[in-house]
Amino acid sequence: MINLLEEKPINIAGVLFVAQPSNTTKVAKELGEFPGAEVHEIADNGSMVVTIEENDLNRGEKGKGLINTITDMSNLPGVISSSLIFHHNDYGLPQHQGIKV
Amino acid sequence: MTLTRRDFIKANAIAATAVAAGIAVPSSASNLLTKSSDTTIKWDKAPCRFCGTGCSVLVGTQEGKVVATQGDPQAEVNKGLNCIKGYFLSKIMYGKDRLTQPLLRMKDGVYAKEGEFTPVSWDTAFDVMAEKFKAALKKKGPTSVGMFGSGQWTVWEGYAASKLMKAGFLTNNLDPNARHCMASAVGGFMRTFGIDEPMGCYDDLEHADAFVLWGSNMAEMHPILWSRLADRRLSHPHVKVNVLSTYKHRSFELADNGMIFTPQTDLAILNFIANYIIQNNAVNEDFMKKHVNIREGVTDIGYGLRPSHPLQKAAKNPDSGASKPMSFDDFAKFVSSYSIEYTSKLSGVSEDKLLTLAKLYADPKVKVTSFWTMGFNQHTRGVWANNLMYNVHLLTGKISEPGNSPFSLTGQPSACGTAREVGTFSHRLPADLVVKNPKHRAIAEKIWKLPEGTIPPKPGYHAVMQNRMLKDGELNAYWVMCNNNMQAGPNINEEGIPGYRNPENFIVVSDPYPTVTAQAADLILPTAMWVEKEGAYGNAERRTQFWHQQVNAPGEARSDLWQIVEFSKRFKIEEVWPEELLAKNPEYRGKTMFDVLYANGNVDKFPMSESKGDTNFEGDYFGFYIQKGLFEEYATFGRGHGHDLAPFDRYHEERGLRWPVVNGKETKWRFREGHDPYVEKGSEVQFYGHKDKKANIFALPYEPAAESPDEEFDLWLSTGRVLEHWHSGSMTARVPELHKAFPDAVLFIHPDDAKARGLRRGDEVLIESRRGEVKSRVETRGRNRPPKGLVFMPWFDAKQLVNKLTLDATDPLSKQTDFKKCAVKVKKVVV
Repeated sequence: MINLLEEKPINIAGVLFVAQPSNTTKVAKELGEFPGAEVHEIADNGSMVVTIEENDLNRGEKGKGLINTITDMSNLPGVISSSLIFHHNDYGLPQHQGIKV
Repeated sequence: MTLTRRDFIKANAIAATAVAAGIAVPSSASNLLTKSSDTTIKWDKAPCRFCGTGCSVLVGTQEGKVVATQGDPQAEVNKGLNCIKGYFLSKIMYGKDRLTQPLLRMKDGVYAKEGEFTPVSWDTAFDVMAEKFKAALKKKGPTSVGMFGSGQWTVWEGYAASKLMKAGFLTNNLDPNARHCMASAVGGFMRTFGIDEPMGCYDDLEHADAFVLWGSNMAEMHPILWSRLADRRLSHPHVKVNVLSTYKHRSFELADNGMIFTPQTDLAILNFIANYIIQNNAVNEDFMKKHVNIREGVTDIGYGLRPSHPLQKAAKNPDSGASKPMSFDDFAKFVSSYSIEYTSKLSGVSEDKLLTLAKLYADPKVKVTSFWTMGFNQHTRGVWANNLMYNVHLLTGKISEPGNSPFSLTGQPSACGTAREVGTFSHRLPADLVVKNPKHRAIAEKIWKLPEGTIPPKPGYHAVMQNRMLKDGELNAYWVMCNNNMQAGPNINEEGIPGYRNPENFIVVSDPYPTVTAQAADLILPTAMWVEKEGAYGNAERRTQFWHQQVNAPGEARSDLWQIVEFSKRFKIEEVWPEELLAKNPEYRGKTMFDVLYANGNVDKFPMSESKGDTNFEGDYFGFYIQKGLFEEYATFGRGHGHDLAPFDRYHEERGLRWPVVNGKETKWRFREGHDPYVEKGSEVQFYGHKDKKANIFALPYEPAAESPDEEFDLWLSTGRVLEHWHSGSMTARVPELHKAFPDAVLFIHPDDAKARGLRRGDEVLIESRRGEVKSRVETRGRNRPPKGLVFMPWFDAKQLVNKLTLDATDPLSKQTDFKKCAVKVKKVVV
């Protein structure tokens, strides 16, 4: 069962990172250490499938937020390119702003 | 096990990313996705709101809000990818300070230049605005009103604005912010080819054997094109990547040959390559003979400053773009002074790096694509730099075929589609027509159903001139739309701010947000943006893309199109046209500008029943399918003249088409037989922008920058963008999480330069030029690494207005400002 009625707002990005194929193990490890980040797949051609989710580790005053985390990951030495493929963020919906609908 | 909505969305993220990467979707994600489908989100396509790449994005809306975005897998441009600026797409419309009501400066209930911004109705806003425009027209005539528009306008917004200014108010004082971005590229195209925009397309990325980036940090500024380039490089080991810049940046990560050169010496490097090609018998003589003319350009043309400026007075041939025919031998002699020794010494690039670069261009077996953006264009010799780049490709015939491509990239989503193709420049009309040419004016007047002599023949004030004329009190009623020029324009201390705040002037700014520019205005109009309206953009590869309105704008925010067309109703044609013009078309008497310009039988031709979108605010309001009417009238200019656009409805079904679209087919490579329907059979190549169907090579020298470091102002300052902020940050800097983190611009400086000034990383510094000062913080590491003697500062940060420092030196031919070169000094702020 999928509980589609869950009310908590969600902010998740799917990002494709590319490194030199010989370098992916190292880069993937470093990418996975960013708060909220998870590396799901590493392909032979240097592509890495990564999700980054806003959570207590990267949110708020202590954290840098999702976009800065992604930016820092993109600027990691060894990363050649980064592409945001998917982004879901429903913080803006009325029910997430305390407005009754 | 109960799975949550979060799990489901995450699985979507993984699956989409894997598909875009061309790898199998992990089973954990695919199993989950087959169990349910999230039906609450409605998806539709739109081109991205940001740069000129023109990525297509799938936009997910729920309950009238954008909640999700995804790279469009069906899009040829981005093939399912998006850059990280795409992160902002679902947020740009929902900033806390979004404007939802017109705001007028008022005191004691009436408009006052020094009053406080007060919410007013649209009626009041337009009443006051119309009164000011009418007063200016009455007092000083059409040259006292003007408009500053945008390469982010939709195609029909730019077109409607062009009609309003050029045919309604009878003034050519209309210029787009694309003047700061693309004008030198336009100048280069027109001078070399006689027709604007790149001959190639993004498909060159998959065909080239070598890439050369000239003053383009593609990795940060055009990340999707960069990922295609990286793909090509990584999957084809013979491919070489060359990167030229005045400082080291992210694109050097992939560079086989990275070159840091002294600012302005790109002109010499280009001439060196031409010289190398000639010296090593690599000239494609057959191509040259059939398709190319050689001309000697006039030199010492000044720096586009005010005529009173000493540099301008010292120039022998200020603002001259004249040229005369030249023989090949004379051209060879001209470039022969650019020897490898001289060029290496002048540019600071080692001889072997220069040689490696020149060999790629010279080798007939290597297909070379050259990319450039602001490094060439924001240059006091920007048109020249463009011309010299084409020289190299023309000498070898490496042009207009897959992989061989000199390619000027754009920074704005519709710099090509709107600013250039619609011709919202002070000297232009649609489809490369110009106001100076009486035949061109006649074409426009006929299509627009206007009497002969309506369009004024004299070019109006260009971007930088508009600020000067505001300051001088010559331009008095001024409408700024869809740009942030007080942050983007040069030398705002001496020209911009005094111009806007001149008590003689009334300044209107239309924007979704209270930008620096809006705050300098007298009236702010709240604007609908992106998918809050139906739109069309044209990207850097001539691709025209459409989208439907997908959500409603908040409050009373209205699109630029609505604002332009609705405002036109406030003027009787007698109030804007002289009697002699009216006498030629007496049936227009008593009508409004709206009737004459927009309810003219063309623009109001199509009923709203033809609209396939869910909603269309402007169409419903005006009572006809206004976007279609404007587009079809506009397309008349180019059809049959090398600028053919497809029928309106087709674009809503496609992920864009590259013009010319002839017999339903787009054109990937122009000027080449077999690719371009305008090229005659048996001719191989025809540069048909010129009457003789030949392109021009220009002999043009290296000339120094307008301002170089000296003893007092001892550092070069270069300005530019960063990956995660788009231009002035008026959209990307609105995301709340960024305010908490680290949004401030920093000054990138070489560690030795920092040390010599007693500076450490993070120190607060004062940066001074002859024109102003700005505070920032020192960054000696990070993504940008300037060489000694140069500092780099991004301009997205409204709290650190770097344009208080920059010089309003422009290319005398294109009138585009050089934001990449001025002299500054840096010192520590002592608390």
